[in-house]
Amino acid sequence: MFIKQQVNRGISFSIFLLFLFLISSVSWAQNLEAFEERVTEFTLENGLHFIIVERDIAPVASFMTFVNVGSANEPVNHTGIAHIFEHMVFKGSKTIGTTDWESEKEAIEKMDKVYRAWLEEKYNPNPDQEKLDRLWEEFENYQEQASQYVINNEFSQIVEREGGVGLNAFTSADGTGYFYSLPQNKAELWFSLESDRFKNPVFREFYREKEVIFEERRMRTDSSPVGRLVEEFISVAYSAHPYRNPIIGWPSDITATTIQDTREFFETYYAPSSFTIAIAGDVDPDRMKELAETYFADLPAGEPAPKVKTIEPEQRGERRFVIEDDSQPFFLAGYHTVNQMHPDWAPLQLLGSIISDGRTSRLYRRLVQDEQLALDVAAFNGFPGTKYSSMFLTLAVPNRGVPLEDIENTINEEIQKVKAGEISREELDRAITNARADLVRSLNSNMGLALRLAETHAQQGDWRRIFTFLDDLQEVTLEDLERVANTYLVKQNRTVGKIVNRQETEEVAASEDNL
Amino acid sequence: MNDWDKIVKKLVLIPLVFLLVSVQLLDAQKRWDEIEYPPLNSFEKPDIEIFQLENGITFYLVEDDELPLINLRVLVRTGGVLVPNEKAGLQSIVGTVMRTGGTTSIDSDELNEMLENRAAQMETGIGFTSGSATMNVLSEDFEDLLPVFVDLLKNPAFPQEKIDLAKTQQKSSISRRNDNQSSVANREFRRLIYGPDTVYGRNVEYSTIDNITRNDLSAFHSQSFVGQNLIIGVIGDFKMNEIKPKLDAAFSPITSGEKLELEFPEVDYSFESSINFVDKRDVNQSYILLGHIGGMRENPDYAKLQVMNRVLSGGFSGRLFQVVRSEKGLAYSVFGSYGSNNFFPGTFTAGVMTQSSTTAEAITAVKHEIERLQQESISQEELENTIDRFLNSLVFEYDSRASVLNERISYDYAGLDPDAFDKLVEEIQAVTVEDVQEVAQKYLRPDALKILVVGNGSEIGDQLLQFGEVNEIDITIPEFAEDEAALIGE
Repeated sequence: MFIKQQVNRGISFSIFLLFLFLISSVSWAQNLEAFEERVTEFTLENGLHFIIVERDIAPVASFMTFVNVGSANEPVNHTGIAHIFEHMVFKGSKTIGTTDWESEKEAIEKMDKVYRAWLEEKYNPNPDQEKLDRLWEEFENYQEQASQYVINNEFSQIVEREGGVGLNAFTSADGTGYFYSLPQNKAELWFSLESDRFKNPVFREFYREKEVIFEERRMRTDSSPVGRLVEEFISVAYSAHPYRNPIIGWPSDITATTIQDTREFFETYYAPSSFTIAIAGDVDPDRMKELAETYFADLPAGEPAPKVKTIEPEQRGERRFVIEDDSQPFFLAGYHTVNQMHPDWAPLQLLGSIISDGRTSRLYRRLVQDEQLALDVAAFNGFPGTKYSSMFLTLAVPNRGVPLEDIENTINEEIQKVKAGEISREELDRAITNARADLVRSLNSNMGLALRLAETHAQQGDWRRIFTFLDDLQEVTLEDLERVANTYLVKQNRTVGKIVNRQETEEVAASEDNL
Repeated sequence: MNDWDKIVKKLVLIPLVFLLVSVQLLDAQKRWDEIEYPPLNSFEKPDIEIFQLENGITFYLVEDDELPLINLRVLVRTGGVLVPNEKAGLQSIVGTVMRTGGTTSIDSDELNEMLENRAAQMETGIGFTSGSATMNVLSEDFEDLLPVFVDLLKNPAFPQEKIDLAKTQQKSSISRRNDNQSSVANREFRRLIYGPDTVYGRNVEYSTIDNITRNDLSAFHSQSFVGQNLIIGVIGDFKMNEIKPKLDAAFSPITSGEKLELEFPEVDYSFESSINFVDKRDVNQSYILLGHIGGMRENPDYAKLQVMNRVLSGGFSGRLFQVVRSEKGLAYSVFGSYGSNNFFPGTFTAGVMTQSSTTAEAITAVKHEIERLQQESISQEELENTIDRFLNSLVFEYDSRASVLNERISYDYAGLDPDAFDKLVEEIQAVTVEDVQEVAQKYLRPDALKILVVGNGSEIGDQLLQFGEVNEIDITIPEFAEDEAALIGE
């Protein structure tokens, strides 16, 4: 139910790894072996993939349904539809959440038909207002009719009553995840409920839920200075690739999306082969496999989801924009880079870490500590997603009264030093060590494990990439860092977005007028 | 293949087919309410080893060898409650500079490199009711880094340049405090409930930051970080008998000092309804908070109040979510709960974010749900569902060894019995529908709500007038004293 702006720093993880910090003496292959003993994988005939991780720390288990479909897959006119569908999955099924599905379905279908007619009329060059009003009234009647049969949030109530916790979902540019945790003896409940809601999706309370989504948009984007900046930023930085669209969708597209559109989206993209399900916790993998066959094998295989084939064209020149706002200033710049399967991904991850992670990093030392230009500064690769050609971002929150130009110039100077080959072996080693440590520290959570394994399998073809990526990091040289900086962090490839304070700008303008 | 073979094959195949069918039958798909659950696997709570040093430091140890790490967390009896209004923000500066300033023997750059080269973490921070210092290291680095950590607790250098840096950063944060709608709302609501000049409601201002000196930092540190005020939890990959002497040797040099008594002033609260407004022209949604003063954890009605809270706003099943979000589509975010604090009264706060045009409608809808808790008793079914949600998810209360340790330490710090949680479980099981209505009537005052709306005045129009005379709150940030002087000079 929330939007995940995926920020993947490419730092991966593993379990029971005593050798983790030893830099080069032990290959990841050995650690992988230890971990593999706890992982069971299988693919059903229809293409649905399962990953089971045994972790018997406590009698609980976490369930993650990761669907390799995100906002980047959305059709024209319907940005936000991946997220709208995500909300609908909480509305139950043909048997859960309704007192009479057949009657409800009839009302829902009539309601959608009238809504579509209303939409068509609305976009006529000369819409007939009387007709619009009449259609709207009819629409509201059907909506009211359908609502008689609704058992409010029955799906979620069952989960919560049985002791489920952390029930939620996210939509990112690259994928959609549905998740909760249960006491370990109730795994079958998850299989029953989860298979039911994806086999029998209903578009219950669809238009009411779109109102909820509009409120979500107002909260995350419209009423948040950084939300507004980021939405503007991706739409300027990307010309062609769907990473340019906000995950929550443009308001007019949310309005224009009907039940019919959403069902079509589901049928096109939610093939079993788009699913990776990971279960982590105190569970028996053989039993999980039996239950997977029982509950998911009858999902028809269908056609695999269409792939995104738009490739972001090379940028022809620097792009800049300024938002004059009530808020205090903010600086954001980004450079187009590569996707996560590209060999330059590893050096770009390390580059971000070296210049901005921790108190020893170059940007922190200079901007935050020594010159006190910024309250905070960050640089990382992997935005707005990682599956397709991504961006390396630098961002800074200026200290009170510090001009944004000073921030930008200083960051550029630091990037220049990287390009000139100033990074030391010590800095590189430290970044690799910290990547490994971050990984280990992230291991003590069932849900964290489930998400990372499912996502990595879905997007990179094998969860083992979590481990082997650390080998990739290990092989990065100082020359690689210098090379990727010179290749990607160049002006022509850059987008710069700023928030400036409206009041300050007006004061400056006024004083200039007086001169 | 001869005929005999074929017959044999058929004979073999027939039972196989049956077998497959019967397996399928055994494992048929079940509706959620047809499933029989196997018994839950058991969980043994780890033993917590507790011991005290002569200087008063109490240790709580739990072995956990899942990862090759040791995690040490010091809980310090101190907090912002000790700081006078004119130096508001002092505790936070102390917490920051203890770490960023290094120690009298290791300067900060050296410390940062030493730690980050080993991916070791040490952090310090001080909040309103307690302080904390943490160390998270690879178990093989523990012995080497433990003395560094103790040095950090005992001998922070507080160099002036790092104090100035922390003050600059605090001031930058102040300058940005009106940018984010939710922080404006939460801050101003707190001030409405507790009073703007109280220790609970005051703001950190440019002037209070300017009032803070290095001596203040040293004095605050030396009264807080002494043995009598320290509780230390250690969890990770170690052996009990090996780590104890190491901890003893490392921490014994810390002076015993005096136990700090944290005094929490009475809240002078009177129940009065009011409608308050902050105009923010760059938003299209109203951030609404409404409520009044809440209570204390030690209240004998605590368990009943927890059930009431869950009926009102527990996950997807609570009434506010059901009605205000799902049925009416008025909000994405809606919540409400009667807060019970350990050290000073909490607040009863309900909140909703809705588009400007439905501000009044959302307030009325939330208020209605509060009133309904008082006016009609909840159904037996709603009660049972609510209690089931709590009981069935109890297993997550201890879903790691660390959760057992953390609970024990926080209970001890708050002065609660170690079995307070078990007691709560028992009491919740005994709550009746009458109890829920009774506590709703006793503790909720929908007739005397303080309502705060942070939103766009030009879009909201006159909607708020129906709730009374609107009190507009000015959130202009008081300027630097030196800037004021400069302005007067002109």
